[in-house]
Amino acid sequence: MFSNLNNNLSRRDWLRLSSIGALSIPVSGWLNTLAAHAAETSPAKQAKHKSCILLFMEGGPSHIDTFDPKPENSSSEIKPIATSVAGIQISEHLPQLATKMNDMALLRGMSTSEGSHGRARYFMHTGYRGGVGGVVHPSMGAVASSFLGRDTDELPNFVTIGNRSYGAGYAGPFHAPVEVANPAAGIENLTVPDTMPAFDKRTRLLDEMEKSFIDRMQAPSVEAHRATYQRAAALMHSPKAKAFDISQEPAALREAYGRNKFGEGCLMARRLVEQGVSFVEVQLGGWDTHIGNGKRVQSLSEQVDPAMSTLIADLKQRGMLDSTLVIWMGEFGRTPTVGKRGGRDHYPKAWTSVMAGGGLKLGQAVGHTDKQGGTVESGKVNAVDFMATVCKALEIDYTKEFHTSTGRPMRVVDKGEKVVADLF
Amino acid sequence: MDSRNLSGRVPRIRLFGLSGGLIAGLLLVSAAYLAADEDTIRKRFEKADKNQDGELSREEFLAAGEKPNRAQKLFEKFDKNSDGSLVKAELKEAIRTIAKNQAANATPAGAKKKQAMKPKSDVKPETTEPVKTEAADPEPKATVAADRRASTRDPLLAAAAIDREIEQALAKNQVPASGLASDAEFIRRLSLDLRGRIPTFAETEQFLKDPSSEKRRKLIDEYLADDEYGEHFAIIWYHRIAKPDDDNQRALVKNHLQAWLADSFNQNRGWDGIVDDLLTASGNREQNPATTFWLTAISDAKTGQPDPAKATAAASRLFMGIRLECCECHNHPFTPLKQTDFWGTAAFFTQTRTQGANQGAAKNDAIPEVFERAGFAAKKKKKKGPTAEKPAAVPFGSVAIPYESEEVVEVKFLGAETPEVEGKKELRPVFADWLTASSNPYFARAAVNKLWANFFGRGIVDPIDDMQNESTNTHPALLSLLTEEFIASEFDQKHLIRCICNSQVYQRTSQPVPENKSDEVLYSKMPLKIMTADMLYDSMATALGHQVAGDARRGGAKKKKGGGNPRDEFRKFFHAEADDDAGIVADYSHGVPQVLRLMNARQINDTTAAISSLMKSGGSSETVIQNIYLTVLSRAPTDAEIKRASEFVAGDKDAANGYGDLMWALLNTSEFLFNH
Repeated sequence: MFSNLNNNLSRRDWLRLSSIGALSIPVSGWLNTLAAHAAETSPAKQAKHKSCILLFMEGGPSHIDTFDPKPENSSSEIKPIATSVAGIQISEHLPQLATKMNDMALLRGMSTSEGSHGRARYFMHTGYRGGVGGVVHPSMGAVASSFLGRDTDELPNFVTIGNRSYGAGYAGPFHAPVEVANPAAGIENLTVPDTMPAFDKRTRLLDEMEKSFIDRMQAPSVEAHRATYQRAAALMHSPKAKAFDISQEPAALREAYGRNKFGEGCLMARRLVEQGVSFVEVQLGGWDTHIGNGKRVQSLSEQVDPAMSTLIADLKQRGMLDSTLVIWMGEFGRTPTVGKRGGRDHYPKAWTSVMAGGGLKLGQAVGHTDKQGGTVESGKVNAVDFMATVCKALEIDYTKEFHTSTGRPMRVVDKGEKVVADLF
Repeated sequence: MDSRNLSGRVPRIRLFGLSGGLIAGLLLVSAAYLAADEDTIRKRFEKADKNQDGELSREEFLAAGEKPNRAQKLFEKFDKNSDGSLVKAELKEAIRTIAKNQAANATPAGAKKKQAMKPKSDVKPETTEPVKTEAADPEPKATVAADRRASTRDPLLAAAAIDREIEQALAKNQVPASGLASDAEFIRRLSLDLRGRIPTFAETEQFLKDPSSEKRRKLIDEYLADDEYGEHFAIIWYHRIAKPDDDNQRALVKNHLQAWLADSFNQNRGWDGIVDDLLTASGNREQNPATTFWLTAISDAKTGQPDPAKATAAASRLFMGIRLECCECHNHPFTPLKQTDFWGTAAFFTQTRTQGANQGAAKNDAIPEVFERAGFAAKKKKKKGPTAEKPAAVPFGSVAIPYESEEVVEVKFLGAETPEVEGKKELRPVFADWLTASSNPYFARAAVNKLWANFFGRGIVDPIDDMQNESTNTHPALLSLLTEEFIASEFDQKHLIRCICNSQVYQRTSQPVPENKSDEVLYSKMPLKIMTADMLYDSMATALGHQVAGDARRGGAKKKKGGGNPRDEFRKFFHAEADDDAGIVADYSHGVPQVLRLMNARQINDTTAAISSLMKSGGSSETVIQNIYLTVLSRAPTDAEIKRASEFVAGDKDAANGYGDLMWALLNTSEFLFNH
């Protein structure tokens, strides 16, 4: 559903609530009504939409040492290995992913123009440059939440796992991500300090108190308050909340993803998408390899390789890969030369991102860089093109306009976009 | 805190809490004069001396200025022999005294600043040297009284005028007004709006018992005199001004501004003086926290230099209620604003530089400094590529638009003339003098509109930082009236608050009647507001009996990325940033994670201590229940509520547990979470 984000905020709440039927639920017993409703609705019954898992490599990974190896570049610190697609080679430290190349497409022509971390991250998450015109743009996840998310679902539509990421901007707090700091610990405060029966007893009292205030005030924002409590209580009761509990997975699969934060994040992402969450971002930091690039990229690759390849295989096995777009990317690439401290510096001019699943044309490398990995020779993709491509893959009409809080119309993706046609 | 800490910059004069800008506007006193420019004062004097009799009569003096009230006071101060006219000598003497006091008060900050800046050879010494500290003249010292002024204007008159305007619009639209709020509703609302938290149990009890018919008016005065008043508005304004992002966060690691703002609000300094200080701030962040405005404008962590464009956007949004940044890249599509309007303002800010504010310096814990580098010429953008020529310098008082056109734009007041800056060294004071003058069409109006929004959840023109759109002005005459009142009171915020809070409109109940249920803009009832994250934090603490005020509420704590003190963490979790522009929450903003925390996080809703203390003070079960209601909702329960709660508590084997659950439920009601 596309929310019309005008600045008449209370009306917006009202419309949202009306549209999900919250207002038709009898006030008495509301806290448990939605939970019961949710339990009846199996995933199969719900309308299908595409989902996205973004694996964000914070710091900016060296493309030359991961997905765009350059044996002729003397600074190269890895050996290239063959993949399941003839003619495409990647780093020796990504051996499992090499076997999944048929399910992946490499965008080797990334060329963006922001070279500082914060600005580049913002740019790659939103497709807009930060700080211009005084607006905060919604990140990919918030866009997906606005277009694909279901208001009726007790699960959130946008989840980030790891560090804090970019949020909803002018799309509004309703599309802000639910943040999971540590996937092994799950979502915060989902369990009560005492017992569920005790919780239910308290909430019945709360329920009655709310009824009297709602009757007195009859204001949409009070209804919104009620609806949010409803969703939260429903989530606490819902079997779907188990999506946040990766301990439910078999030990072998957990081993396969990797017993580390990133591997666990990827596993949680699959569980969430399986339950209908539109967008999950999993972060892996540490790619800012100004010092000791070779070793650090190797160690990070060894986390990415099992987690991402298992994620692809897991999604495929469950028949979810075609409807789930997996993106691997950082905020930029790294220089084709290694400096004195054995590191590579920021390099937005030429780098690689990876897409998997999502019903795209896979098993290919789109675009290529020169022998040194420093210049894009074909298939150039800038940040706006990239954002448009992601939207198209998710079947989001990115030419639609949001309205910022000042009423300024703003396209989901900026004008001048060129979708990566080879993927469709 | 006294006035000396309010300004690290020396050359501008401050007297009795008046801004340098005003005095300069009034007559002769200017930064230039302090550079011992006898010639300037003579010229100005002669200009003001219309009949050229060598003396300034009261009329002549007042005519040269623009704020009669203040000019009147100044005149009497200057006219030592009380003969009703000023001779040059008297004026000079007065100015010298001010200068001396200024210098005596001058701050080690000024001295240190010079020293710290010296090593940089490319930094030219400022033209205006601080006046030497000789035996300080103890005479009329520029002190700031605890409450700068108790305005002689009657707030009740203005309150009545507010009511008239609102009534008229209601009558015209045939919408009936709801009745007055109960005392309980009033004290809770007023405490939230003026102190940022609910009242304590004891405060509520005392107020409800007080039989005085004047008690609402008295409570307004009492809260305005409470230090928590300044702290609350400092929270709002600090977050409006200091917006950390990836570029500026290193320079904003320490927050000195919030305490400075709190003191300024508590001393009730004029809004013109406060803004003037922010816009012209020099010195280091610690000694002159007002410099934070400029540190926020840093747009490149590597250089740590403020960006004139970012400062322009901030100044127009904060102090003029205009989103001028819409014209940073193009002419405004819906208003007459042009790209050159944006850059004409930005041109005032091109000389402002920092030292010790880049990321390298931040690593060494340097305290960033801000200064205006007189004569600094901005350069056109460097062209890329091998053929790049040396970028061309832009003339003084101009800026080159850093986009395609590279058009060079001269300083220009928004919607007004191009000021004469020839011969001037500093540009920021020229802008600040214009902005904070009572004749400025934006300044007071924007301040009034923003303050109104704090009390009513929306501006008279809404959104509050986009006042260009006159079609959203719901009560034009009301806005004009309050703007005039604010100017006449010499930008006295406490006075303006008295006017608003004493009105019937402010004291209406939030409960609708059937005929005004759908009214959102006519103030037929008090609109519901969501508590801000800070209000929620402090109100939960108040209800649970924790310490509220104190240093943690005045900023200062070191903010590390992703960490920080519990309040910062709470603000982040409750997405307070989203509301920081306005300092008000118009929309319902809590999502599932926030609600889960409110319901299930014992670290924020542990009622054990509060319940045990309420039970200890004795009384029947009914009394305990009543006190729980008074503590959380600041009102007594109805009979039906007492009955229901008693049953609920009785149903629990452990009474303390039952009371705890009751309190938990009340803390999670919308009645608690809303400001109504």
